Amino acid sequence: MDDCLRVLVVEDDAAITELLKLVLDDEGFVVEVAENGAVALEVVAQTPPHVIVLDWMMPMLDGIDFAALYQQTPRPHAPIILLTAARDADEIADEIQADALLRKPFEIDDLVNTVKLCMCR
Amino acid sequence: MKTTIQEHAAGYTPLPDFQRLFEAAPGAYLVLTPDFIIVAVTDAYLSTTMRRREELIGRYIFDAFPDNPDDAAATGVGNLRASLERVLHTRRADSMPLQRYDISRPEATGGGWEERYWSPINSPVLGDTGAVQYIIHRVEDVTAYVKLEQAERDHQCLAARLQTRIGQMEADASRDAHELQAARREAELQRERLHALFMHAPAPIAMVRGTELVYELANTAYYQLVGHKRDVIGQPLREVMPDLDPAIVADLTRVLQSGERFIGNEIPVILDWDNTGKPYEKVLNLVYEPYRDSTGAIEGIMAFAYDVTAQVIARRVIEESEARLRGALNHAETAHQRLTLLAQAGATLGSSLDYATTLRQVAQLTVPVLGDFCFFDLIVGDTELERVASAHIDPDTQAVFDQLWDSRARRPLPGGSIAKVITNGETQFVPYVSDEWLQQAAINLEHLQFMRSLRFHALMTVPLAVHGRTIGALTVCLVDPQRAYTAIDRELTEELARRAAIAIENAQLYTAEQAARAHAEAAVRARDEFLSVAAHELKTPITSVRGFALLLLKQVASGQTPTPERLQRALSTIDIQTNKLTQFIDQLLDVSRITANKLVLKRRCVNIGMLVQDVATGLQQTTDSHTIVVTMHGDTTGMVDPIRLEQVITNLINNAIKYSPYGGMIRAKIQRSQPAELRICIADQGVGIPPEHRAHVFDPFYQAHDPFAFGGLGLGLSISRTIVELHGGQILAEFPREGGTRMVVVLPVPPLLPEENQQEGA
Repeated sequence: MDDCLRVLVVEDDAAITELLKLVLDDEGFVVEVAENGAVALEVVAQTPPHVIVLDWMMPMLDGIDFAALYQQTPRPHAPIILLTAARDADEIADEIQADALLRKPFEIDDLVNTVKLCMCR
Repeated sequence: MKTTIQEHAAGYTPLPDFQRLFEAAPGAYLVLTPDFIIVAVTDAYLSTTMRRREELIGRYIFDAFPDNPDDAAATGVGNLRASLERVLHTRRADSMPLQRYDISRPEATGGGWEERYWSPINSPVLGDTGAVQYIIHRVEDVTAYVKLEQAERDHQCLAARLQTRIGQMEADASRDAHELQAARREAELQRERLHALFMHAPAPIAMVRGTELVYELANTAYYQLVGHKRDVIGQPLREVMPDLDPAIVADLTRVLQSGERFIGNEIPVILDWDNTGKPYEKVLNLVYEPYRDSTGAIEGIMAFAYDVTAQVIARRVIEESEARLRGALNHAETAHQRLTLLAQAGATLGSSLDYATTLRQVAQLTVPVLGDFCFFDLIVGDTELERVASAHIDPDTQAVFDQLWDSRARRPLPGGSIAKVITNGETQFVPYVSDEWLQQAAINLEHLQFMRSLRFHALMTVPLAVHGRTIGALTVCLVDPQRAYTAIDRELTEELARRAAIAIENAQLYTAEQAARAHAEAAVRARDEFLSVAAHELKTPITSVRGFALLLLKQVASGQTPTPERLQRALSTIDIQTNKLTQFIDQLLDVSRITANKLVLKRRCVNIGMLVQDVATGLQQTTDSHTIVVTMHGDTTGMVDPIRLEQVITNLINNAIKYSPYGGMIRAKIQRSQPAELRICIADQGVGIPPEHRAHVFDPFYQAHDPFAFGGLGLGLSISRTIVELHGGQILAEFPREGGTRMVVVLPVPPLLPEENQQEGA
């Protein structure tokens, strides 16, 4: 495994994806993006990420289903940061056993700190 | 046939009539041959000796009548033989002294011997030669007389017994004279006794004679009964009672003719034969007994009348009071039955809010108390009836009813009583159902035939009404010809209907309340869901707007200068996302306007085809994976609000893009389908709409697909529909078999007037 720290962004909204990529690029992470859970499953199989930033509401395969399927893939599993605008974000985070939760709209510093924190685990 | 005794004597051959006459003679005679063989015997002889003719004819008399073997001192056979021998010898009649001869009883009457005393006389019948041809043996049974004497002897002293013996010896000497005299005395005594008995008998008795029914005798009781104050003896009945019921005269005449006794019980007779002016009725038990003269011919009638008026009156009183009692009992039973019906119906109706079921049960309770069959009908809308429940006393007809109205089928209002009740809300009471009535009530021939087959003769339809509003009718019908509807039936039926109506209303209110609650709950759910979706849809653009703003701020704050490229991306994103926010807010405002009926169209003459083309061109910029193809045919101009119509087309094409996640062709077709109608079709090859959601796609806040998967507020189609409908058109969702969705907007576009065309050109 190479030295770079990879972050997988799973998000269907193009603008938010672009924003996340810019911010995390600035922090020196290698950012992979997937527009839904199905694409994300292919990505994690090819280039396992160190941290996953996961939206909940997405077409095709949403965050919950992705998380469930991801947990069934061979270990190790990257920590998951749930990023959502949902009102019941806490419950969803519990359900998918997310390592961290960020609510939309988010503070850029919070995002960076949370990703870094999860990297250390 | 006339036969003289001489002729008979000459021929020796008893003629049949003569033999019968002989046999019927009142005396006890036996005819013997000279060798004592019995050749003839009278009925009286047979009767007194308890023998049958066949036991005697042809037999030797001493074999036929042997001595009593139990009586060693019996002398009967010896004495008779001696007398008969004397007759043969002397050829003259021989009177035997009083003779004891016991008669053997037939086995059927117990057997044994009966002590009897006889006074026999044997007379010869001489032939031409003077020889004895036959001996007539005649006997008188004097047992009773002897027994009486014996009894007296038992009680009298020896002297009396001696005297009797002397008297008996005297009797021996002059028996015939003595007996005759005694008999005459006895008969006279008997007659006097009978007359006294007759006259003073407690029952009215009269004797009438001959075809003229002439009064021969009438006793005191008879005079009292009939009320005659004058002597009626010797007068014919028709003169004494000229107005007598002819039936009574006929009965009397029949007895006279037939000789058969007449017995009539409880015959009412009007009596007023002395013109008192007060006729009175008596109820009599009558017996007409014919009596005959010595030749056996019917001479007259002895009429007995037993006055049973008092008994009959008493019995009638008892019967009447019994009938009244029974009536009261029936009434009480009926009242009880009705109270029970009301109570059971009330309990049934209160037991459940499912009034269709409870009414069926109440209908079952209603027959037979209020009729042989019944129906509950409810009004549906203004012109239809629903037969909610029916019951018939006969299970077979009930099965027909169940089959007819099992599905609670609705049917148009019939004529007849139900229609009237529903129209004026008053009970319709048809005490006699004629065929004409049926013809008027029937809605068609089949209905008429069915009603005829039910064979009801009376009916009553009462309204089911609550708060003065008629919601249906209860109809009860009678088949049993013995029954008729009474005012009480009517009251009861109306009361039953009142209770049923209240139960129905309660159930309907409950159902409506339930529906309202469900509706309210659904509205709350929809609102919650909408808020959730709205929050998400608003937060998503805000996330990127705010994120880019913060990113730029952070760089500026750290003394860096964002690259022009980054600056351009950030500002562009902010621009696009704030636009999206504005659209969302516009949609919310539109919904608010629609709800308040404040959405107003600003119509202009517009080339709708071009409008669609412009929208398609604009939206094609937003997607690479979809190809939007617009085709138009004919004149596509119309008076529409271009801004609102653009909103509709944008929404439809955006949906087509959104719900075709894998891209594909989107076809927009605009054509004049009718001279005054324009059709806009927008078809995609996307995911379509699941059938269960299709009915609701135009409802506000409704999203057929997971809102979070496809985004959007779920307001677009609802707003589009409102706009199209404000234009007087309609919007339809079609789902072709090959998949995808086809939205069709139909707009009325009357052909343009020249000046409008000019405006367009201007």
